[in-house]
Amino acid sequence: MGLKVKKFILCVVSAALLVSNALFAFGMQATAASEGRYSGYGDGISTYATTISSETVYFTDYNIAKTEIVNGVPAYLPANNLTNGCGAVAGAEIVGFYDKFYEDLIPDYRTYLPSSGRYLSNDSVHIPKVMWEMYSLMRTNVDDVGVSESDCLNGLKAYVNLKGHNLAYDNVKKNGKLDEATLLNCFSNNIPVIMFCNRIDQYAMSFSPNEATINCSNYTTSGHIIVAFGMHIIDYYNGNVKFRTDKYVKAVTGMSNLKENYFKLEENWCNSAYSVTIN
Amino acid sequence: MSRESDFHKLIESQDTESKEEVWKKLESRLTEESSDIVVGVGEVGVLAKKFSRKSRNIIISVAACLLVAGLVLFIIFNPFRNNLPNIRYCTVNDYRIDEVEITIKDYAIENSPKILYFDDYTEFEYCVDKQYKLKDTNEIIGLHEELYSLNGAFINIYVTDNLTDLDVAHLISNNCNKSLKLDNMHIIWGSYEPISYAQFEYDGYLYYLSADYPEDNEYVLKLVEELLS
Repeated sequence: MGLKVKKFILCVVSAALLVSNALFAFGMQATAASEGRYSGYGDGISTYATTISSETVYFTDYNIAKTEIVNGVPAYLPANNLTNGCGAVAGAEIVGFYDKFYEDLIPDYRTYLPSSGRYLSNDSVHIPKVMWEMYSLMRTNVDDVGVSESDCLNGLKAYVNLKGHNLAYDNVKKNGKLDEATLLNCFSNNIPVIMFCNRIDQYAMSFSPNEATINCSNYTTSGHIIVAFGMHIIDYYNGNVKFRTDKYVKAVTGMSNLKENYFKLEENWCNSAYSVTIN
Repeated sequence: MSRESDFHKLIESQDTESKEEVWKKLESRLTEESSDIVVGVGEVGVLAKKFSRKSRNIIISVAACLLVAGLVLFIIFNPFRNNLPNIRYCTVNDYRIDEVEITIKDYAIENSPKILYFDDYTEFEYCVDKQYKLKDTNEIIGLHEELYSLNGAFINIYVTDNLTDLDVAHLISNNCNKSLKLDNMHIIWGSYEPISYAQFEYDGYLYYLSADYPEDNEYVLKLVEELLS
């Protein structure tokens, strides 16, 4: 075989190897990106917020249309030493919510006040026990820091199945966006939504008769899991003219300084979201 | 340059003897670093005082060095520094939360009579108390009471000393954007129905309250009044 031919073959083989390696690396990266990690509060979220914006909206009238699960969902905080446990906290919140209807989900413990149906915060025994079980079932900190989405969902489902119940997930994102109608339908039907977030923006709002102050602060996170239970749609008017509409998803966050938060619907903070139905 | 050419023309316009004298003077003056150039030619007099670029740069450099040195010395030996209180910011990484059987009232009576508390627990259907304790020293840095009132209000109250900034308190303080005076106390508060929020300082302690009560968007202010009474 002539030298030129050998060189040609070598070039072709090298090029083929290069292309296949590039494709392989891209494929691996794509896989890794779709299975991001959620490491939550404490180690996973900065405990300092950075103010992004502060605005005052002036109006003659406003209207807040609230669609919320009746009595919301429990706003739990991580059990002591539950490192990177946002998946476990979110799972416990969902189970704590459904325990009102299926009391064997958390045996020997009532998660709500009977007189009002209002959910209680963590106790020191039963809810931490649920969290630690979830922590293990979700394989937290096994492959890497925190949980992956699939481990979180599988772990929650495993816990519910172990208690003799069924769990179904439905995607509430359509065309890459949170679907407003689907979310409203969930909350109207008392179905919580678990959400996998890539950022936490805190919206703190305070209303006076003719003005509202809206402060937005950001908590740095590599990934966090929350449970949504409501949507607020706020319309602002000057006279009869509606000049602005803000839409917020209301959720419990498992963060001690941000137990409940409002997330702006149209902003891109949510990687994925699923309604959770247990029966 | 136009000024120089005017100057040159002015000198050249004089008679030969004066002109030569002036040029000699100019040449000798130009060799000095700073000079008063006075040219009296006819009725024209020009006085100009110049510093050379080199001496100007030296002065600026010395002044800058003195300023920096002064700032450094001030930072090191700041006479006010030791008098400023050190406020500690505590987060979930620093503390643990223990549920306890001791109400804020019991704790105040036993440990710190300055702490304000709700006096009549029979008003509440439900009361859970928690203490925030530093992980390394077990020091109690915050008290939290969660109450469900017989009238249907869901209340949270957090108490810390005024040298502790507890992260959990920010969920209340972030929602406070109005201020008022109650019993001569400066109260910061806010509301986003149905929840109202308030914070204030009293006798060395910080108080953070939230009240979830659809019947009254300002219910938290009634709670503050009750604490202060």
